[in-house]
Amino acid sequence: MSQVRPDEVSAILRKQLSGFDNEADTYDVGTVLEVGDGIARVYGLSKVQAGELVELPDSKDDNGNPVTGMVLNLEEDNVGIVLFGSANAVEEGHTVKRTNDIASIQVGEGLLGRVINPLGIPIDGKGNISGDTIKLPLERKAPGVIYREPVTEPLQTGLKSIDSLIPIGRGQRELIIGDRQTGKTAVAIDTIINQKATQDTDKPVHCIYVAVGQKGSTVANIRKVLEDNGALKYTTIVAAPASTSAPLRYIAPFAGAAIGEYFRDTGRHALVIYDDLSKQAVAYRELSLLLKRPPGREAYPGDVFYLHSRLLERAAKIINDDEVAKKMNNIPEELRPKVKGGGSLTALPVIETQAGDVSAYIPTNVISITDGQIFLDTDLFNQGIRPAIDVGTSVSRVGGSAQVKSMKKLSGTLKLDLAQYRELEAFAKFGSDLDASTQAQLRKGERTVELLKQGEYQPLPVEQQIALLKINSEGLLDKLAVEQISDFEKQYLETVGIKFEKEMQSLSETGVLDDSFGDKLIKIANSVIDQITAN
Amino acid sequence: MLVSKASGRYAKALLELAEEHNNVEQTLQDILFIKATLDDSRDLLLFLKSPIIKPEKKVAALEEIFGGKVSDLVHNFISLIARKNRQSMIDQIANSFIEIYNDHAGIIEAKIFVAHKLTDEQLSNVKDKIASVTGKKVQITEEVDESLKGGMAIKISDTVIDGTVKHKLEQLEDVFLSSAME
Repeated sequence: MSQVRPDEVSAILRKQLSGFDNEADTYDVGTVLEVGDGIARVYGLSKVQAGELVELPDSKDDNGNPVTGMVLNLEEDNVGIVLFGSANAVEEGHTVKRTNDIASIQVGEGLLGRVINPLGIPIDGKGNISGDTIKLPLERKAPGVIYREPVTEPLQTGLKSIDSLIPIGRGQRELIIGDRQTGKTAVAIDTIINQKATQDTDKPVHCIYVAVGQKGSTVANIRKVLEDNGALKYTTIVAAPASTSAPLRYIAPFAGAAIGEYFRDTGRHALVIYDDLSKQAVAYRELSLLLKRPPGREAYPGDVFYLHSRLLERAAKIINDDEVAKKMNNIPEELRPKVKGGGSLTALPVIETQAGDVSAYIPTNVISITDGQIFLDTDLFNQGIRPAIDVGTSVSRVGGSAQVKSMKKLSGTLKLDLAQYRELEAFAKFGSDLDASTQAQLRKGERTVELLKQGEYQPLPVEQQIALLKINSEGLLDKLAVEQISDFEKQYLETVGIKFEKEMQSLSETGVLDDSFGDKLIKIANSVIDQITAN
Repeated sequence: MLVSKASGRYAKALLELAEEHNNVEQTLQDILFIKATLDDSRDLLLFLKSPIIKPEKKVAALEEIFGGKVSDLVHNFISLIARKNRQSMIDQIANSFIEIYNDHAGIIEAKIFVAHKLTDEQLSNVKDKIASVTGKKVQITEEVDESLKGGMAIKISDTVIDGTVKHKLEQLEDVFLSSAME
């Protein structure tokens, strides 16, 4: 136990006091007229800005801190404020004080490995955020056209079916959509875990996981999974669980975007996962209805499309030119000296559908905003095809140009195989009545589907995926029974890993699979297949 | 305060009419008189606002209370309000009228918060200072609150210029707490 000397204390106090100015403090105030349902109507505050944070010094929450709120409605004779804290402490007649701060969050390197609430306050009990932080606004305009670049670098998810068929590039927005219990979060978490491999490279991907309206236990579980897999140290979790007030759930994705922008604008790469935006839309609907904004379709307010489009537009690949990037629009002054080009922010929004209904309001909105979607299907999931990705309806509109070359070549035949298989799948039950070529196609399709199955939290590096898909495209798997595929995968990758460490390394760096190495892979595969079929 | 938009319109109409009749000051005095009466008598206010009491009774009461004590203009105005069934808004109309008149005449209302009552000389010094800073005529109200401990806060419209000891102490507390947590 270290002791504090009294003279030290008084020295510190004197230092603090010496810098304390004696000027009168000027601030603007208003008075609470009515309060209810987490909304306060305030008279006064005539110069307040929309989106500004306000403080209610008279209303103390359970910890003795003043309740804060955000201005959402500016009306002719009153101001509508959403309260972040407990609304019970607020009474009619309480003073409301302007803070002159647009809602913002303190962002810095210290956020990595932490769990915070949407206002940037740590909630993992590990003390304050360490290191320098910069205050970034939650709402910020997306970069303009001239500060962007097409997507060219891949963002590997580590999932065979996604990296081969629905590739994602850095700076892309790819929607993960599906019913409850179809593995949406698992896809997102696997993607975060797979970014571990990038941490040792010169282009590491920093991750942000935004949990909106989820159970507190789920968030704790995700944190544990990330920690166990060594992924927490490059990840920030922004948690607005179901117990938090609607305003916090509404701003949580914006907080995640602000953290992502910090990395994006300082020339680095970030991945942000919004899990999920349907719950955020519900929180926003709650606020809008309480603020008496007119309801539209499914009772969502008219600007619910803008809510999601302005959020997802902030995901971008920034031009690889420091001079141009420095002139980017709406950069906060504090951040400007640190701005560099070449960064990216990839967004993986998640939407939960009800009974597979993708034509509901929010799903159609977000599908049209994003650069493609990964559709997860309950039937596939129940058939044991996991990840339960419906390859037919899932697309990636821009990721193709970011795909590794040899992977692109292999995925062409893969897509064709799967499409043909799906067409013939209905006939599979006729079995031996079918002609030989149909049977061969069915046989191949079954094995391809089996090969694309993958366990949770087991992302595969891209070079291993290529090595596997190469064998599939050569049709070697047809010799194996469907049940033997997973054994083959394990043994084959193990052998390749031991025998061709150097070649695999170069494959992962260049992405080029030359013919001589391809032949070697086929040879190994044949020997593994012989071994398995012999047993 | 959630003020009905109609009250502002009635007040504006009254002011414009008073200007036409060159009778603004007298009208203001009458309105101030009505406001003072309403402020003093909570019963009257409740009586006017009650939905149970019939409008005719309210009109008759207003006639009896204010009849002959105010100028013809204001008297007519009260009858108009009564005829339009807006008796319950009379307090809001009076407030709006004073607000619009102050705006019109370049008067600002300043409220000062002090720990101990100021002497008349101090008060007029403060008034002159505010007038010279804002360039407007100042109407001052003083509120004594011992918990402020010392110093003074001035509230003009929504802006507070706070130099009270209480506020300074709160600021110091914040500074100490935030540096203690680092």
